[in-house]
Amino acid sequence: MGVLDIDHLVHEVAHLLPSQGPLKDFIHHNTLHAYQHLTFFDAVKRSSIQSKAQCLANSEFYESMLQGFPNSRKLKEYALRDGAHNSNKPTYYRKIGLRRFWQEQSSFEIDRLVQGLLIRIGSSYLDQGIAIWPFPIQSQSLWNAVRELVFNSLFPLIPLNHSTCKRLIALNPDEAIVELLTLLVKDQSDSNDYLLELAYLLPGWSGLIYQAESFPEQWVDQRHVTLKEWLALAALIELGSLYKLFGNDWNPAQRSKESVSEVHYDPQIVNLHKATEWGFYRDILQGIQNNIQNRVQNANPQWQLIFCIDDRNFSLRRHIEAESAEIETFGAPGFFGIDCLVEMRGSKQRVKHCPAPVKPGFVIREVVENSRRNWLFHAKSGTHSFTRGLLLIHLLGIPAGLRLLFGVISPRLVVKRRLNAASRPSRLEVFRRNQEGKKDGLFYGYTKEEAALRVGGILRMIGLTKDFAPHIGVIAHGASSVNNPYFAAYDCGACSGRPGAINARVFCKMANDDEVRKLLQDSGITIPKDSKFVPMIHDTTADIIDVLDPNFQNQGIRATLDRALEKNAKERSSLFAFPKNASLRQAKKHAHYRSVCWFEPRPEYNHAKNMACIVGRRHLSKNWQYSNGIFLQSYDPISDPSGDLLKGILGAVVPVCGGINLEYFFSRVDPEVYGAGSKLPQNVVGLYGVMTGLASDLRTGLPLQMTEIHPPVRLLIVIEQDVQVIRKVFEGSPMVYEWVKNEWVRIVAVNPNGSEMSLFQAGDFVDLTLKDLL
Amino acid sequence: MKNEFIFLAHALWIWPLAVALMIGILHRASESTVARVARLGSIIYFAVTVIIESVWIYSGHESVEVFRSVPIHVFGTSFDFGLIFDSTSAVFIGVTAFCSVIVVRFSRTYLHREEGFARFFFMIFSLVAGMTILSLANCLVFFFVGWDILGLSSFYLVSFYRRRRRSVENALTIFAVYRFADFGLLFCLLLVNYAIGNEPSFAELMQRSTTQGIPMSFDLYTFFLGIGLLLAASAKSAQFPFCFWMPRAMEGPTPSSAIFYGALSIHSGVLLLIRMEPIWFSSDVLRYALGGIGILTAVCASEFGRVQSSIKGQLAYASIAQVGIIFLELALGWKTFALYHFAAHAFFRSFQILISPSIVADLMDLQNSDDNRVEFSRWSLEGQFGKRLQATFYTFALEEGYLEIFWRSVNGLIKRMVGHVSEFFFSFWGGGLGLSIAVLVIGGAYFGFLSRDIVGIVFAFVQVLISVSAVLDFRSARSVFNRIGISILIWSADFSYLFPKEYHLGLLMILAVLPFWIVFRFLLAKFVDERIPRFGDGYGLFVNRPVETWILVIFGLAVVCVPPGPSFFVEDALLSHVIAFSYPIAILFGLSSTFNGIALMRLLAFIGMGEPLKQSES
Repeated sequence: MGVLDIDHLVHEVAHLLPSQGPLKDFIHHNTLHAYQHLTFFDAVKRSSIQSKAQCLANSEFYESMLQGFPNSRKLKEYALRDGAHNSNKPTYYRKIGLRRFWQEQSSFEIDRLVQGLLIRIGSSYLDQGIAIWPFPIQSQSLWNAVRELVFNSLFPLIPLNHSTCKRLIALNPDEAIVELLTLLVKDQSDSNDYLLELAYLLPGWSGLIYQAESFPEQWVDQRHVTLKEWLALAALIELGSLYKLFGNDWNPAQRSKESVSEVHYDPQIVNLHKATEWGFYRDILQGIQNNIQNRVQNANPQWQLIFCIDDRNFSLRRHIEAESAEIETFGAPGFFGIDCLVEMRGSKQRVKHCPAPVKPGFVIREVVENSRRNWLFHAKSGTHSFTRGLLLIHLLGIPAGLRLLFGVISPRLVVKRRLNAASRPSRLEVFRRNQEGKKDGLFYGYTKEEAALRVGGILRMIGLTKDFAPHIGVIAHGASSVNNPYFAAYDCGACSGRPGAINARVFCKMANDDEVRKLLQDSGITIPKDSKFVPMIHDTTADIIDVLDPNFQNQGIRATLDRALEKNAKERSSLFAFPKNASLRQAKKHAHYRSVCWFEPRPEYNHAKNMACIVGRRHLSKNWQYSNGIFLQSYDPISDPSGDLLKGILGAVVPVCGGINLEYFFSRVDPEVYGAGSKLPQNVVGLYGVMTGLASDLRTGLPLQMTEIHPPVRLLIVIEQDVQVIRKVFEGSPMVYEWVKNEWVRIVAVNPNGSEMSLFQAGDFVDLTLKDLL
Repeated sequence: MKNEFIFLAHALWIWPLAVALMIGILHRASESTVARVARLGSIIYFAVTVIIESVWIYSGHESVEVFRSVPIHVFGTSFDFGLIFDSTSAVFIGVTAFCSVIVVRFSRTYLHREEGFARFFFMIFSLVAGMTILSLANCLVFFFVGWDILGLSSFYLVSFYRRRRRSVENALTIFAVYRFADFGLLFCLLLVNYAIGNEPSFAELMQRSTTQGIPMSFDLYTFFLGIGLLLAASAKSAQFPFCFWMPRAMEGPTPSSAIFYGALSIHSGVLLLIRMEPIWFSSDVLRYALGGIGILTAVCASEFGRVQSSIKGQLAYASIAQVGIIFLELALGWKTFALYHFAAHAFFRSFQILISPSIVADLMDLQNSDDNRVEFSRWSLEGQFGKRLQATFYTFALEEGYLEIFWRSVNGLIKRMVGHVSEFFFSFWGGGLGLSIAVLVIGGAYFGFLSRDIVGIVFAFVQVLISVSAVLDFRSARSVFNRIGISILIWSADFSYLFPKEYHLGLLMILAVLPFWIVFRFLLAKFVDERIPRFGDGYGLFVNRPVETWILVIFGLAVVCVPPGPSFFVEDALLSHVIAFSYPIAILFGLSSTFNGIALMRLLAFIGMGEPLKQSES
């Protein structure tokens, strides 16, 4: 037997696991990130084999979608020509599991035993605050903690009480896992497969463990755990279960004679998928082309509003611009360049308020005057325990019943909007005091130079470097929802799943600062003295915009915004079962109702139906009535002939918007494997995840209720820039190019001086004539 | 006045049944139609409750109103569908109406677009009907009807996501526990009838206990009655040693968990105890036993709950602990306080379960706030213990008191012991041996070598073996069902042998079962092939043939003596003769019926639930 390179094996396993961190910061990512180096369709098939998932939607779905498009024959023809280098291999192979060797003898009892204890130990060990009595040995690593539990307890931890298990757990995990593999697997060359199967016994949990190992800073209550220990523990429990089920009379796992089974794919399905995508792309590109031809200029804006790039702002911006020609809108990533953690004075937690890949170097302190304690919450959770429960239930039982009754009859009166908390008055310590050094590698606050750098960066990125209006609104967004463990997935993705109120306030405070403006002037951006930046927050569920500046007084914009919000609410309400002929006011009320309704599993549809991202000037999409979601990133191609700005933009837009798109895509394609299934039976565990029922695998991905109306279509990124410049940007950033080359996102370039389009296909740009598709 | 009251009281239990039936008929209708029916149904139910309670309070709430309808006589045993309306019914009906109207409103939106929308409301209204019957029934037989409707709707709500293996398995476990609760209740019923005479009503019991008292002493009778009562109440209310089932019932949609395990079903054991109070309260042993169970449960369950890291698991154990305290209150004789505790707990817990997904946002906000009590809440009493003690307690709590493991190994033990024996008798040689023993026993009895009760016991034992083998049998669906039939056949034969004068009851049993058995068997032969029925076989009959499967369910239940099937009443009549004759035989008969029920549900779950096989996959 050769020496096993366990670290290498574990690393390979880790690569294939779902990578979703704790719920509190919901970061959208490509569900199939493990296969990103492959071309899209090849990856989809390979992943569906590994995770036993559906590979794309079924052909009936595509046929019915295609029937909705005019001239779908053309679409199918075009799909055949598009993306020629995708292999259309119909047959793949699936290895037959090693563990089946025991499963068949025990009618799957062994899975239940191993899963049961693993979930119980894992969930308690990682728990972030649900258990009243937390795991007693938190300071040690998982393996050592379990060892202490086994040796110190007078009661047995079944099935780890077998003598062999006790002997092995006394070793360190590296030694133990080697020995376990020799005991459990007959042919050592199968070790890799066995470990993978073990990890895939509970893929969600194993993935979370790996996340906890790789990104401990995501956890409030940090634990020392490694995937290796987890796999060693799983193998150990398996060993104990085998002894329990079969006595001493069992054999190590070995492959049965037929070690692979064939998996067939309908070769048609890829073409149908592409045809459906082209149906949507055709509408989008046509809309853009029409828009370029009917370009309108507006001069002298009174207001400039900077929105988040989020697709939910697409319709709102249209409504606002339609309300008043004096308003100009922009789109930028919703953290507004403020790469910070937020810390509430008195709290030990720091909350990340910038995109997942950005490593924040600064902390913004928030000071809330006269904050109140949430006594009601303490009282409620007190009822879970014995003595307090005995007392509190008698006192609070009947009032709780009444609150429930009124909350069900009239949610808007009883339940508070969650975003109220985000817009509460507080003081932010934005600027660093002199000579204050780093604490834990982080600065408290920014210097003026750092501030100017960030403000200038955003303004240059969106092309707002001159012609400033008297008021510039910086509009962060979040979503109010109650009774929703996925609340973070509804908030701003660029703020790691949080409402971006603080980022907007910090940005405005920086941009309004005289010293910062002076520094900006030196670098070429002159902001007039009477231009004022105003922070705001848009509640996308309730369609309410709150101004976050308590000194701000301007009734004019308020009325305009409210009208636009009502129209936006009305437009959104068509997705819900809401009467079409209802008035604007009713639609707005309904939106508010959804945001505070305990029993509404769909407070809003979030990023569902996101299809495209436009990187370019506003006239590409202004006034365009389109019902699906489009991410809008402002970008001025004329001011960026070198492509440096574009490189920065694509570096953020492609993984973030692409990640959102692909997460919706796969959660829709297979809601049970890639998605989180139905929301209704879900059970929150440890504050970091959800399970279905009392004990199940951790559900990763998005629930059915978020994705059901989303058509699985890859993101179409439309870039308004010269093809040469874009090509240069791709060459300069391999991360972006991997997405593009393998067609995880599709790229269309629009000539900034005309309206010609080119499609990035099989490694190069080719001319795209929309007439071919009509 | 009185007539209207009676009418309303009857309407109260008939109405939810009618709504459930209506939704059942409309199961193919659009979601909005079903939702409209459900809304109307729940609001009318609530309104009627409000009216009836106000009338009751207005007309002097002290008095116990009893409506005795005409008893139905079946071969010497009478059944009475009278209703009682006293403070207990008032509280239970009030809480049921309150919770159901909220849960129906909640679920109409919550379950939007969910597969099985109509089915969910069908089950919710069945549950409400069961709960209403339970609260209003004036005698144990009628009480039993409500009890079983509750159990069945619970089974189907836990297995609401019937394609998921784990939810179906958990539902089966819960049904098995419920079936043992049924067994306990059946024995209570028989023993009470036996001691007091013909089918006393609850009101009558109450009167007796105040006027002449019901004599209780520690004898075999009290022992069996106590065992039956405690088994029924603690199994149905998830008390020790059955605590493990309730967290595992959290498999359905959140509102169903809330109404079931937070509010109503979990308290049905409490209701039973209140109703039977005149019987057990005078016995000190039973009171101590009950109080002991209550306090043991409260302590254990809150300890198990404290280490649960999932919110629903924690709430489930917290509920069990509170019900344990209610048991203790009853044992102390604080009935009124227990009723208040029940209502407060039901409201509170259903609220908490309904908003349980909020916990992430709530706790996260708290942890990010400057509220320094968060630090404090991570402090725990147990954390102050020594290392060894902590590890010991934590392991005990993490394993949930080994209760599930205990019952699983009991199950395994039965499997090993009975399984081998019964399989032997079903083999060729074993069958021959069995037949010859049977001939010997019958011959011995005929010539007077063996006494009648020994022969009775031997056959009753054989019957139980066959029923257990039906639970364990995985040869084919048909063979499971055949065994259920054989066990009932032996039952009626054995009964007729024991009571030759009452042979018509034995015949009646066959008559009550046979038509249902034949139809079931016919449908089984039509839809199910010879494969081994296991979960996920790809039958998925509920998806492919819903109507036929529901017929299978109803007819099957009628075969295994579940009320309100006719065979239940025959069973009742039959056993009331047996119990006067011999406890062991009655227990064996009852056990056989219990196992038949479990076998049937298992069979129905395995052929009905699970993902139906797709043609495209091989």
